[in-house]
Amino acid sequence: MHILAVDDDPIILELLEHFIGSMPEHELTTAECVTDALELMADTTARFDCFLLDIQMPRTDGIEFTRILRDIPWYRSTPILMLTAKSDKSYIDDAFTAGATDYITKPFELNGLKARIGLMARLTVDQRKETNAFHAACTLQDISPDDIADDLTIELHHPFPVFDVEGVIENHAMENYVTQLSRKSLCGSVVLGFTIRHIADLHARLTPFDFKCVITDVSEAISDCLLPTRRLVSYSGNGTFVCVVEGAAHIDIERLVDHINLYIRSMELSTSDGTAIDIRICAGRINRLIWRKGDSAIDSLRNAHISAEEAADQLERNFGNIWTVEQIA
Amino acid sequence: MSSLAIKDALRPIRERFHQSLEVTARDIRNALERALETPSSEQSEFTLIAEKIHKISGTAGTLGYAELGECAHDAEIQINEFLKTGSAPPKDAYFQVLDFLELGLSTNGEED
Repeated sequence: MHILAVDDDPIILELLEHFIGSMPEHELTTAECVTDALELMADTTARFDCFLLDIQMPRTDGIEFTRILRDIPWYRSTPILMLTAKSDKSYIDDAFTAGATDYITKPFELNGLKARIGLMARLTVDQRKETNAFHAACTLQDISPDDIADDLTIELHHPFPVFDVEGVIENHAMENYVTQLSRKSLCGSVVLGFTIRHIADLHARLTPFDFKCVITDVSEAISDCLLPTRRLVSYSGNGTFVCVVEGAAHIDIERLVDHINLYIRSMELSTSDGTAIDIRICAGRINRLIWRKGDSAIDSLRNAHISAEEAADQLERNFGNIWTVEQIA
Repeated sequence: MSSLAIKDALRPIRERFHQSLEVTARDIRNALERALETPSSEQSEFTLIAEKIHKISGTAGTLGYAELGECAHDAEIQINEFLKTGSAPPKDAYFQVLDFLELGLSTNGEED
């Protein structure tokens, strides 16, 4: 894996050179500022597979650089690991919102860093497999990458990244985000799950391109409707989204779902051939993150996902039983 | 990488860090003096000091100087609070920085 580390502290860069230099499977290039990093990147023969970024740097900081990287098509999914002494929640939120994949606070243990770089390497291998399959498909069908990009099969249960929607991040970045936050920071935050009803039917009916568009539009609707609270949303597969919302002590979940469904309706979603698509979502139970940390916080993401899908199943069962429900008084 | 191998690899880097600490401490002391002489320059001088201390707070702990890293972190919080609100009495910020300098200069290449 070819890694680019950007940090204005030469001691940290030297430390990384020694440390990553001892891992033969990786190659490290360093830059002391974003301007130098961009100059290195201008040489398109030197593609990077992973970035290690400090946050506080003169002129352009690491969060701004993350935004710049995510706007470059080649790097929109490339792992970005923030390596910073900034431990305030606001920095963690801003970094993940900008597109960071993971976040390590200084001081850090070198062996801990090794483990996180290992995770990034696995992510890169998966992405390379997808890219190779994509290019193989292009060659086989003798068509351009642009024509085929949106027609590759999408597995229903497979999370995929949603690009260019404010507040929406990748699924593994969401897991790293909740793991990173301390108990104190998570106190007052909640996890919510939303799922698109009849998603299997939609998946079977829609082209991969149209399915991707639906997921992107619904994620935008959810993210917008959660404003003005601080929120992060990710698509976790099977038409389900998990969201971490800060400082929402009292959520009227039914009103929120109505609001999102109205928002989606106002988007007038349709397929590529102009056929209208009727999309409705439902929500699971609210999971409060008080005293949750690490794996327990990840469990709450999983629980929110399951709870949203159970709510969708329950709605369908209730709908099926509508004429058999006992009358009350 | 074993902890012994890590320690060996860190030795030359720790030496350079300690040398750079002396330069940083001198820069910080000069900035403190300027802030004391010209109170109107307090904000800009403390901004400079915060940047220098921030860098130390991340690096010191990683290189094994945990106490220095924590002291730098506390000083950084204190200064940032003062820079953000202007409400904290500057003398607290001065004392935090002085504590940090004292500890930094007494760190003679030995781990905590």
